[in-house]
Amino acid sequence: METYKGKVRLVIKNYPYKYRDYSHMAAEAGLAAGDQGRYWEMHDLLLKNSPRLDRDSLIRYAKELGLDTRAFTASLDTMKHAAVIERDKKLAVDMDLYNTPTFFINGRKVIGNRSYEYLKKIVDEELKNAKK
Amino acid sequence: MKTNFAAALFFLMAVSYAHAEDKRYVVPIENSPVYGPANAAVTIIEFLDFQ
Repeated sequence: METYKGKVRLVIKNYPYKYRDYSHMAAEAGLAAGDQGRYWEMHDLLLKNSPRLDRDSLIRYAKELGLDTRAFTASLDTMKHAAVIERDKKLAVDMDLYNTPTFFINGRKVIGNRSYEYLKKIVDEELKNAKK
Repeated sequence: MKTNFAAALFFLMAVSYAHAEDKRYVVPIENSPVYGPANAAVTIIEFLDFQ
């Protein structure tokens, strides 16, 4: 992302699989950190520490980021962002997605974990198209 | 004749597959977390599961 500063925008949709223990709570953790203006730092921590995403670990990551852990924990426990997460999930199901990650690069679908080089190639194509 | 039919079918499938890949989907951004400027030339929307 740093390579493309100002040229590329990244948007996250949560698609936690139902059968995985901590998927939903981890998505909640990201959005809860977002309430305190720290979504992307939490996003990076969650990816780095996955699959260690149990409640205690999530609260520890919040502490690491210097978040208000009381507000953060309350947000997790009340599943404050459940409606937004469910909306994203519904969107994913409606679009017939069954894999994460799935990327849409200017609308072009790329499924699954791809190499940085592969994604970069598509981004570069799109940047070239945009210049025309 | 049978082989020709199979080849034609395969060709049609290959063409439609290629078209599917070229399709551009519209994904609403709504209030999802965003990194980068709204006027960026490229928008990547990622459906993500942290676990």
